[in-house]
Amino acid sequence: MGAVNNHATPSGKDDASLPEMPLAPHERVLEALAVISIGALCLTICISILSRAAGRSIIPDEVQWVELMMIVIITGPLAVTFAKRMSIGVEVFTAWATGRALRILAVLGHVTGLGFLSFLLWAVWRLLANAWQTGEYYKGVVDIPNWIGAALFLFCLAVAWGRLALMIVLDLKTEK
Amino acid sequence: QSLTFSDYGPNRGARAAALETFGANLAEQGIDLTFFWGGSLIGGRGTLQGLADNVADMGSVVGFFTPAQLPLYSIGDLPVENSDTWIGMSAMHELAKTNDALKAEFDAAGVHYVSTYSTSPIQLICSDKVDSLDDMKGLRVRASGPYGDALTELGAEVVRMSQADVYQALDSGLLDCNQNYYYSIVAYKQYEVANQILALDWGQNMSFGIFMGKATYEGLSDVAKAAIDAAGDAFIDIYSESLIDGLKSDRAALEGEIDGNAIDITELADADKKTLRDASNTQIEAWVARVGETGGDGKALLAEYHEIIDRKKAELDKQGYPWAR
Amino acid sequence: MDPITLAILASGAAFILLVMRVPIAFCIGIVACVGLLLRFSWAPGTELDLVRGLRPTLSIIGTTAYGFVSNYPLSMIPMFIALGHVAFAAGITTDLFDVLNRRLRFLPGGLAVASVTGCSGFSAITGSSVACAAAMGRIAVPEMVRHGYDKRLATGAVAAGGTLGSLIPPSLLFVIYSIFTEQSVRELFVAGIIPGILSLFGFLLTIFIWCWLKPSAAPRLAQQDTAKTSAARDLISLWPLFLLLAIVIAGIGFGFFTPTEAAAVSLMSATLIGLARKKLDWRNLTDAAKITVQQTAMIFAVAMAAKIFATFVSLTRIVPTVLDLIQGVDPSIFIVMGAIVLLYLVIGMFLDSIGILVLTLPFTVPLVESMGMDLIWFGVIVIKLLEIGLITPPIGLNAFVIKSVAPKDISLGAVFQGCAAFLALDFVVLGLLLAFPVLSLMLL
Ligand code: NA
Ligand code: NA
Repeated sequence: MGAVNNHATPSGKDDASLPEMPLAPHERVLEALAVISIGALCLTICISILSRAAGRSIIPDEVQWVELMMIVIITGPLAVTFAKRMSIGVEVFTAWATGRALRILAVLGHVTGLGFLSFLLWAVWRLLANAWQTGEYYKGVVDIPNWIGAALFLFCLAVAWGRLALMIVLDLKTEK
Repeated sequence: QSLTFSDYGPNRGARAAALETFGANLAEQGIDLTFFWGGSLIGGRGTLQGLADNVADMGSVVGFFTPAQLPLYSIGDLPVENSDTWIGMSAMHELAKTNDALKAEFDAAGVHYVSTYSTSPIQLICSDKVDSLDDMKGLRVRASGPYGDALTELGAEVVRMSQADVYQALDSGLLDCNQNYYYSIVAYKQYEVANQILALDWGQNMSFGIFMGKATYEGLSDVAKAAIDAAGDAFIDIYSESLIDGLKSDRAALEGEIDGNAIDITELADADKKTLRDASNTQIEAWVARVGETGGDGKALLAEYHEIIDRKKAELDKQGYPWAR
Repeated sequence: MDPITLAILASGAAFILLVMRVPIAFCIGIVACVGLLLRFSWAPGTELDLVRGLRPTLSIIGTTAYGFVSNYPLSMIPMFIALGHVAFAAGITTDLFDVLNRRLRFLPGGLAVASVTGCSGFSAITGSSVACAAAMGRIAVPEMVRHGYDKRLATGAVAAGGTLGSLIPPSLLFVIYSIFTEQSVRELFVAGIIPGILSLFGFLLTIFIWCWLKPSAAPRLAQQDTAKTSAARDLISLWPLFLLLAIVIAGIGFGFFTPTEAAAVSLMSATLIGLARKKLDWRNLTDAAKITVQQTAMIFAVAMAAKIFATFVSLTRIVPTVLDLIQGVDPSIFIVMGAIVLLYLVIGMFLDSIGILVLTLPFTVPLVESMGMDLIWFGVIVIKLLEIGLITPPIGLNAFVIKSVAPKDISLGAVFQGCAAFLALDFVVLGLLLAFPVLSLMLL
């Protein structure tokens, strides 16, 4: 895993933490998209401010574009944070755990997450189906259809779901 | 019988008070409403779908959020000449209850129409003196819907922003003006940060109202259905009376010194009124064209709407408001 | 099933999962989803019918989650997280803290004092507690740790300092409160000033006491190190920071942009300053962006789950039920007010600020009003309680944000331990505000 954890700061107590998992190419792509989105979001707002100060706002439906970018920024890197075990949890009560116990707790976490994400995935799938059927859109200059945001959300969630499932397999495999 | 009601707004102000009365009327008929205020159950944007999916039994639907599912319903937001709140609301209510095209639209969205809200006529509140439509050219104005399109056409730089953010935006000078209504100017305390009102007395926003999930409604007993429909009818008079009374008192309060803030209200000149009417007609034509693209007959609906408005107008001239008869 | 039983069972289940190190987002997320499903499929007095409950459950999860991730005002948070990283990479913040460390040598816990004060300044601009914690957590915590500060003091100071965001005007929470109570926004803003300053003093006092009891928590620089540069040169070296502040303050003040937009403007400015000083390049800029989006994803995962949980809590009607119960038992002012404070503290353990406002105000405001209490004062109390909720375990959003953006080896437990020290005096401040409404109302 040496190639992937160059972002990690050494924790000094490696025996008490589980390793980061290597990222899949599509997870890197989603993360890159989130990085592009954050730059684009900043630019969108700044251009909008400048053009407004100059007399006429030149970005139509700015709010809606920002909202779409927010979806990618928030949910695009989810899979990466799961692979890097970045999720915030309460460690005080299980500080005693090492090795095997820690791995079991991690699997419990992934399973719970998989359950939550399954609900989300199903719910957003319905949202997408509905947006597609009704052709609903945001009333504005461009009339951006709702299904675009729902599709982005669904895709990012699906990748995150896949990562959690993979984490269960990987953690159980190390167990043997 | 117990039903849940999801509202996107706070349990304050004229609309909430009217809703409470609506709930009390239903309670007398044995139907208990449990209100969820402030979008604590479903946000405004999701209410239509939430009703269709039985998240709540009843709720406040804002047509603006679902232009594809309720294209004809957006007729209520058009700047037609209906500036008397009761005429507008009762006409919109009758149209929504009797027009087959609108009914089909509600059916397809999975909801049953119960009653109509209104914003009361549209005014403009500004931080600096704006005497005429000409003064408005180049100013940054927050506006929404067809009114925003019309103001753009009249030369304003229209900004889309939620009413809750307007206070700070007017205060910092980010916005010069805001499209608003007397009660809402008072509710959001915008007179604290802007002291000029241009009395446009323009059309009202009425494409929002009380709806039920279709399946929920159809699952009710005939007695309960009748009680709800009757409460919906009564709501029109309850709410329009409160809006009309509020209009007078809010305007009077603003004209006096409200909380130590002196407000200037400027009436629109006749020439400007005509300009506004012309801009409105352009928007109405654009609406008919847009509805036509989706296969709807906007012209027919509009004709029926006007016919009802004229009838309500005659009724008002002859008999006065229902609560004063 | 009885909704109250359901709410209690759900909280218990969430707590058990939390203890077992399950990530917080997953705990409250799954409990909220299952809770909603049971609530919709098991109406009181009927049989369990999962098929009937599934449709509304999925509908509400979908719209709530989507509404939360596609939210324009919340764009402020990733922008300010990014600002923290970019300002660090551009060397702006390191310079600042080196200068502060030299110049504040006489002050016990000087850097912590500077951080907390910086937070109050930041909050005066943004009006968002979480955004404040996001930026200051990245800026101040690593610097304090670098200068040998106790990690608990470093993180606690910033997490607590971040809670000034909504009390010191301007403040979005006060605007929302004003809509629910028809009170003057301007008066609410003014009423928040003294309580805000009082809270700030409470935090500063906490730092002094901490450093007095345990001087090693905040080591001071030796005398000879401070003489190296002149005060004037130190001040001049901070020009990028002053430029940044000037742009943001003038921009909001003169109405060029909103506080939400200010986040993007300050990020853009910091980036341009960093590029101009040749401290930023493509590589560390993309690195900063990568870490930003990862941290954003983590924080929003928790907040989104909390939002769904809030919907579930709303549906159980536990808030009005509990308030009715208390009023029935003893309707005296002290008991009711005490119960309301307790209610906000308990709910504040689990939910986000805006969620709590829309959930509780429809019930608490009429109650407080009927007892003849001042609604401006009550507003200050509610906002103060919400701010306290941001740093109380188990769900303390500010603590999570600090945990996410601070160096990796600082545990959540350490952050909450730090918060606990600051909470002690914060409760004293809350007590004062409760006992003496004049503190909130004297400037009106
Ligand atoms: Na603030
Ligand atoms: Na908390």
